[in-house]
Amino acid sequence: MLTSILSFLVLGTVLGVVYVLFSEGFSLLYGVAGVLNGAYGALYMVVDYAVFLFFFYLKLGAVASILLSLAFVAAVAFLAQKYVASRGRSPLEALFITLAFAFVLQYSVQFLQCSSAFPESCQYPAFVPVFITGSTSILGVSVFNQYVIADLVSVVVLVSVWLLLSRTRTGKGIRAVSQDHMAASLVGINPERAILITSLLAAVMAGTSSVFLASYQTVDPTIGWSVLTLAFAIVVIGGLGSLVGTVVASFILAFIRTYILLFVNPLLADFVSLALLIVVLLIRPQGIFGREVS
Amino acid sequence: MSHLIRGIKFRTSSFYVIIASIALLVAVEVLTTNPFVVGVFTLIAVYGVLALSWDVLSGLTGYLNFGLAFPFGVGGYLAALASTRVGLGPAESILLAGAGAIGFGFIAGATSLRLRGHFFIMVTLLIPLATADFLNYALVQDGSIFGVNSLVNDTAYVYNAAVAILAASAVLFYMVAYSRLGLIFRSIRENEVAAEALGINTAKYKMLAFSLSNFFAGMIGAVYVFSNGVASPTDFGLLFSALPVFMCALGGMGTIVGPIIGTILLEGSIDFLRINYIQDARLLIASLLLLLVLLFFPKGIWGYIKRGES
Repeated sequence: MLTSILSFLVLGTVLGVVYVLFSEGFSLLYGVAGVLNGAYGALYMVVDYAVFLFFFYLKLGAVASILLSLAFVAAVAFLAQKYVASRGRSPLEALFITLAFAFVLQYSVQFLQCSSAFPESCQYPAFVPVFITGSTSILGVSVFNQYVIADLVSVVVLVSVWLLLSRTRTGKGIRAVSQDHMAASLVGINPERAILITSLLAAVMAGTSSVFLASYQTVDPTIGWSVLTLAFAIVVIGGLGSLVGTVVASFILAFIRTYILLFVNPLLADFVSLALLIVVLLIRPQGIFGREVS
Repeated sequence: MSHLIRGIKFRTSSFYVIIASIALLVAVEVLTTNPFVVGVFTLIAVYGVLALSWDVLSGLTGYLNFGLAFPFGVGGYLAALASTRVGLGPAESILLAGAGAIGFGFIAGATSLRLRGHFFIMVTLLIPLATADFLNYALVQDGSIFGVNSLVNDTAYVYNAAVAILAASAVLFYMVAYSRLGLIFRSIRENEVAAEALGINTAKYKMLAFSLSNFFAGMIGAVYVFSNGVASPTDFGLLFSALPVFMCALGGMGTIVGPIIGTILLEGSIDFLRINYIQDARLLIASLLLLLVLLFFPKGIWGYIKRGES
C-alpha cells in the first residue's frame, strides 16, 4: 500500500514537472503575443526529429545533439514568429496561420523522413535511443535516470526563465508587453522584439521537455497535436495568463494521469484526462486561478 | 417562421457558383466511371458538406467549432448500428444519423454554447478526441468496431447520396445565410450582448445554427461510413475537425460559397497530386498552398474576389 502511494507521488511529480515546462512555455507565449500559437506542438515534434537526426544518424554526442536540437528549434520558432505568425492581423487570423504553419512543418518532416525522393533514409517510426542509462531509487521507487535529469533540467530552465522575467531589463520589458501592449510601446519598449524573445524562450521550453521524453515515445510527425491540446487545456484550466494556475493545473493533470496509469487501466488514461478537462471547462471556464470570463 | 426567410436573392454570383459546383459534381458522374475520379469527388462532396456545416455555425455566428468530428463520428456510428443491428435501409440510416447527431449535439451544445472565444474552441476540440479515446478503449475490451458491408461496393449510391446532401445543405445554408435568419446569426457574431438587448433570444438561435450544422455533419458521417464499410474511432479524428476549418478559411468564412471553393481546391490538390514523383509531397504542397493563401489573402479566396463589397 505504502509503496504504491509512494510510486504514485514520485511518478506523478516526475511527470508534472515536464508538464509544467511545456505548458508554461505556451502560457508565456500566449500572454506576451496575445495569440494562441497553433505551431507550438509542431515545435515540440521538430525537436524530437532534430535529436533523432543529430544523435541517431550523425552520431554526435548526447550533449551536443541536445544543444544543437534546441538551437535548431529556437531558429525555427524565431523565423516562424518573425515571418509567419506576426502577419496575422487578429488573434483568429494568427491562430489559423500558425495552425497552417504547423501542418507545413508536419508534412515537411514526413516528406523528409520517408518519401520516394529519399528512399534510402526511410525509417518509420523514428526511434531515439536513451541518452542516459540506468535508474535511481527515489523513496524506494525506481525512476529512469533520464527522467530525473529531465526534471532537474526542467527546474533549472524554469528558474532561469523566472529570473530572466523578474530581474532583467529585457524580462521586465516582456512582462510589460504582456500587461499592456500599447502602454509598453509608449514607454519605449519594442513589442515585436519582446515577442520574438518570448518565442525563443517558449521554443527552448518546449524543446527541453520534448528532448528528454523522445526516447520513451514513438516519434511520429503527428505527436505535436496531443501536446498542443494538452498545453492549451492546462493553460485554460489554470486560468489564461496565470503562471501559478498553470503550475497547479499541470500537477493536477499529471497526478490524475499517473493514478489511472498505475491503478485503473492504462488504456483509459487519455480518455479520463480529456473528460475531466471538458468537465472543468464547462463548470468553471475561467479556470482555477483565472478571473471572470469577459 | 416565415418572416425569418424573407429577403433572399437568388440572382447573385454566390448562388451561381453554388449551382455551378453542384453541376460539376453531377457532371463527373455522367462523364466518367473511373473509380479513382469518382472516389476523389466523393471525398470532395463529403468534406464539402463538413465545410458548409462548419460555415453555417462558425462562419456566421462566430462560435468557432473545432470539433466537427463529433457529429460526423456520431452519425457514422449510429448509421452503422442502425444498418447492422436494426437492419434499417441506407437512406433511413442516413436520416437517423442526422437526427441522432442533433440529439448528441444538444447534450454537447447546451453546456458549451454558453462559453465564448477560446473556451468554446477548447471544449469542442476535446469532445471528439475524448470520444475517440473512449472508443479505442472499448475497442480493446470487446472489439466494438463495426463492419458495414451493405454499400461498400455500391459507389454510385454513395456518390449520389453525398452529392444530394451537399446540394441540399448548400442551397439551404445559402438561404439561411442571406435571409433575416442569417442577419440574426451575424448579429451574434458581431455583438452578442447588443443582439440580446434588441430582443433576440441568442441562446435559441445559437442552438439552431449548431443543430443545422450537426444534422448535415451527421448525415455525411453516415455516408462516409457506408463508403468505407467500417465505423471506427478514427471517424472522430482531428483531421475531420481541422480540415473543414481550413477549407472555410481558404475559400472565405461566413460566405457559404467559400467553403465549397476551399474544399474543391484543398481536397482536389491533396488527391489529384497522387502522381508518381509528387505523390509523397502532396500533403506538403496542400499545406503550403493553405499557408500562402492565409498569409496573403486573409479573407479567403471568395473574400478577395468580393473585397469591393461590404
